[in-house]
Amino acid sequence: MAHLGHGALLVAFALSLFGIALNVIGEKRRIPELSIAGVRAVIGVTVLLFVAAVVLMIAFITHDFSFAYVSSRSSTDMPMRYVVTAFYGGQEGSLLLWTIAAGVLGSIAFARNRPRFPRLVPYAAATFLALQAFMLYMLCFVATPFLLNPVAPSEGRGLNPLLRDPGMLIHPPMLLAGYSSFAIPFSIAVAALLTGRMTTEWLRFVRRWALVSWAILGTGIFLGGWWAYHVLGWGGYWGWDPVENVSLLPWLLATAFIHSIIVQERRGMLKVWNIGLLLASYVLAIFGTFIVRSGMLQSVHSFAISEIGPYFLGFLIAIIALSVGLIAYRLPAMQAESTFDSMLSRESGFLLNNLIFAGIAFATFWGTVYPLISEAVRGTTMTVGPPFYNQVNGPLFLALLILMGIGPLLAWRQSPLRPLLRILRGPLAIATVTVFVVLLLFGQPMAAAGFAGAVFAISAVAIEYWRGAQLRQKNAGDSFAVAVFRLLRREPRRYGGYIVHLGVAVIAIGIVASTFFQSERQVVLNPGESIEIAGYTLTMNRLTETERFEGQTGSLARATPSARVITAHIDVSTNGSSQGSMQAKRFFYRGFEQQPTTQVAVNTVGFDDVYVMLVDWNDAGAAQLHVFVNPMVTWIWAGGAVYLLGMVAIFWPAPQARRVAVTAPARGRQAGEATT
Amino acid sequence: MDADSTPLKITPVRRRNPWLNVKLLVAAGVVVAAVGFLVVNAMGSSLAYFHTVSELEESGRGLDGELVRVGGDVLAGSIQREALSSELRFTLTDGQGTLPVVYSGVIPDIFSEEVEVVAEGTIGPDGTLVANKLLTKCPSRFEADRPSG
Repeated sequence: MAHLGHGALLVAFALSLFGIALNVIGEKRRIPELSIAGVRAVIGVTVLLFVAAVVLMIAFITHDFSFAYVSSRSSTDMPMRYVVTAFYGGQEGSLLLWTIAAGVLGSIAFARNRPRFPRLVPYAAATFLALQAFMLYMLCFVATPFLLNPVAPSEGRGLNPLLRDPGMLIHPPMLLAGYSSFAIPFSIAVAALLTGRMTTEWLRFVRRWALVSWAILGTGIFLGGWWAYHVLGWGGYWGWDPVENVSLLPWLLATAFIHSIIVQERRGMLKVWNIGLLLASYVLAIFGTFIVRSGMLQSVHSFAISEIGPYFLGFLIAIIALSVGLIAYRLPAMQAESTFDSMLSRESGFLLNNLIFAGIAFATFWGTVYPLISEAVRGTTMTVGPPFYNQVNGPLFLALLILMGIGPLLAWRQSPLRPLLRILRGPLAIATVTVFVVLLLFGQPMAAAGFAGAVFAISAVAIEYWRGAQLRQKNAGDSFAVAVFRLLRREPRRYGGYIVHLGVAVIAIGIVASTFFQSERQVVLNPGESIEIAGYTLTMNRLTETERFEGQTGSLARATPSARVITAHIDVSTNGSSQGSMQAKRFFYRGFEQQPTTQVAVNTVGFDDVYVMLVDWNDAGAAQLHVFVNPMVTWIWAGGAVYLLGMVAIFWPAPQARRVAVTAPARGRQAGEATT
Repeated sequence: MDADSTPLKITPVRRRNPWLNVKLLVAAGVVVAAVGFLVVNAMGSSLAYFHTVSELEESGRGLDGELVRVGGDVLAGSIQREALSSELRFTLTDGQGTLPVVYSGVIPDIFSEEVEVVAEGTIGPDGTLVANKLLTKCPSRFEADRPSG
């Protein structure tokens, strides 16, 4: 079986190299059959990757411990869902998943768009195959998941307990898919630079796929926060850990790109900047992988120092050199077609947005690599902690919120100040009231500014929807609800984007509230004792010890416990009325007795999360607890749901035929977004 | 129809305000300077030296109350901790030097003997590191360090 898997990877590696040749020769000699075959090579490589993945998955499901990768990560006493997630619980499996995710998205992108861009897609597919070939080389020769144990052990070691969480089912695949999907916009950009075909249609093509990568990575980061909050037990969701930071970097630049590309589409400006952002997003995705896997930085996530670091460093240098070289080569062809007309315009708003996003990315990058820089320059390793990021990025994110409230209301080219101020009167009044209310109630100027910024941003979304709907109500006689729906269908990117803005503002409210108004106590409670925190009464009910059986039905392991579980049962009440009971747990998994894992108890009461972690206990039933009351964290998850809703609106397929019929006469534009 | 995606057909405007580019550059410069100021300002307040145990001994740093981060392994048999007390005492070692550490706070799940940790805090008068932060390297992320089997 292992030979089948390894063989599939070897053939995929060869096919990716062959595919590069097909694409390049097909385009150079103008043989369409060859470039069609070149796109099929992308699909073929993906199919072969699936074969390898299926082999590995079968090995996991059948507990084939002759596979070293399986025996070191899985065991028979794990429930099937964790046996499946153990697939990407290690380096080799996650590289395989990375390559597959890129392969699937690349196949869709190039197969669907080859007829539309017959001259561009061959080079994009060739570039993409070269990137895949690197990953396949790693999978075949450096970090192969198909190594065999000399002697198959009778039982595997089991998955690290930290990963035994439902969040692990979805967070790592999303993050990996997000990282790897940047290969597609990167390839499209490289192809455009190689061929010089940077047309309006190309812009839509590349923008669409940048949006896909941005959406997937954003979701992955978000799910990571959810997982950290519910599993790691330190009461927060984001700790500015190097690994978190490097996942944020490509997302920040991609966010800048999807904004500033609008300026290029409308005005033909910022071309070099935009393509630079796109290339840099992929470079940073690879940089993130390199940093995470090379063990160069101290991090909670640090992988063991691995062999793949130097390869990734080489790859990183190669793609940076390629990016810089190509931009320099095409610089003369990327003249701006128009110029700024005024200081106050939609263009300048987007420019400011981009500068701030780049600023946040720079500060985050700087803080993350500072230990390496100081080591190289001064010989001592110096680190910066979370306060650094909060002090720098806090004000910058606030500036973005304020800009979110103004930008959508600015006119292109020149936005006269007076009408702008007139429309901003309402939002400014609401924001001012918010500032005073928060100051009066809590006396926290920073929190007041944060809340006011979020409210200000939300009001801009409301104004834009209201203005658009008004117009439709007047012209087409629609009801308000129908008008809003039509706006979303007609201009999904614009109005879907505003929904994303709304989601971000809601997330911002949750972040500000939980950052500034968190309560925290560490206490020892005997059974029957209680404490007060932020208006809640927590009473220690009892401490129990149980055993957990979670092996698969029918397996021998079913009879032996896979973990010992200590549970603190705590009753919560406010003003004497009960708010339910909580169970904070610690698990001691078989084989990982030195590494107990926490199951945090989270009880959401209104807007507050009562969050309890069991730290320690004694035989008398006393428990040491770390208790947090985190206000409005639920808003972060709700905002995330709104963000996803906006994504759905943006990507919801448009009924092509009807769109042409409806929109063509209106202003005589070309029909719809052709590219997907 | 996506308004944002449609290029406007604009007749080139030639009467440009020559000061506009300067003004834009100045505005951009202000933003860049603001970012730079924030970075420099925040660096001052949250910078910590990172040392291994023997590096710390050699450099003599941390004696004047500055924040240090020290990395090393937890010496086997050095962990002293009474049940339900939040105070934890242990000794850090890098094979050459040793450093006593006292820490109170949440103890990471993975903390145990011979595990690699990073402690952040200040050096007390008796030469003990009074840590307010204790980080463990996640065992692996899970690439286990233990021999496989």
